[in-house]
Amino acid sequence: MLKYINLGLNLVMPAFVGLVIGVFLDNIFRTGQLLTVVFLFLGILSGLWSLVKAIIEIEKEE
Amino acid sequence: MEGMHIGLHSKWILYGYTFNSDTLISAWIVTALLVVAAIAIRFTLRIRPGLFQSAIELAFEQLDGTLGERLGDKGAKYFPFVATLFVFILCSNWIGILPLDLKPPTADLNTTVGLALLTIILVQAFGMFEKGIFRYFHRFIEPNPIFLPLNIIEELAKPLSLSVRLFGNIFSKETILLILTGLVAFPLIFPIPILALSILIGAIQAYVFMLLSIFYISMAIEGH
Amino acid sequence: MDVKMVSIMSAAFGLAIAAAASALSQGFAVGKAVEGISRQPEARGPIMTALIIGISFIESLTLYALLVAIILIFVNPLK
Repeated sequence: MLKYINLGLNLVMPAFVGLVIGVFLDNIFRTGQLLTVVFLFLGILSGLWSLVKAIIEIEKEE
Repeated sequence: MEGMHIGLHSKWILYGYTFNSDTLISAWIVTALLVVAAIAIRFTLRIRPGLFQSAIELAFEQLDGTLGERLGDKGAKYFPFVATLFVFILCSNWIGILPLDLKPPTADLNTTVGLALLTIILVQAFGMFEKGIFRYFHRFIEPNPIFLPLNIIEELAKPLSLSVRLFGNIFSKETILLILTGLVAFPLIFPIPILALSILIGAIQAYVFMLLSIFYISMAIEGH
Repeated sequence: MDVKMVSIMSAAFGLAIAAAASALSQGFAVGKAVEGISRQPEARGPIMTALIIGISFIESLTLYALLVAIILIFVNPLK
């Protein structure tokens, strides 16, 4: 039951990683702010996808 | 209110690199304590255990049960790494409660990021040893090749979430203790509930770190 | 009223409002879950699972606000 603690943080951290990667790539390629938004969106989607995988596995346990 | 440093460390400077000296000294003291305890138990093993040895055996069986229910019989070879992780983080969380002038080494972002990076790199290495390199990287294209960037971002976010969770809990507890002992009128009475809470939080955070490491290992070696 | 002071004040207020809203919503959710358990005590397992999943969703919104507050205070891109 203690493995449910990380579900909340696990939705936010990929968004933050996406943001950091987007800012970093924007500084290299100099494309303004476009890549930041794209990678932030990908990060949020990845957080949601990992949450869906965790819920499927919790359902499988019962 | 002088002499209160929140978030500042005393530093050593060596060949142009800066080290946080109080964190390093705390980590060395914790390591020395654990090594001395391990050697003391090893050379006083008896068939009918005394008090200390039976406590250690109880903890051992609990950790082994947690590992076994998750990984089955392949899990026995990962037990030393996971148990060391748990014991080290537990002792270094609890060492801030003793009335010595020590700061727990996990209250520093460097320690927690180091532990999390070590865990993630070892998880990848375990997966590659178990399944072979090519089949291990096949895991990232699992449902559909469109999911490739999502899986990579999730793999990068795992060490970040491990380290930030541990650092946030322990550092905020230390800051609250510092403020309560430094600013309030009765500095020996008010921190008592926070000290009790910090024993619980230290144990829970060490257990959650170990549980997540076991979970990531099981996800890395799962396919047959 | 330079940029730094405005950003620090807005980070503090935003975080307080996010924490208050999250506390209200989670209190409501836990209240309804406990009521459901008290009506039918053998449905405790699935109700607790659904409760924990719902709480993690609400908690993640508060953590988004905490993330923005930390970025505004420590690595503020506007000088």
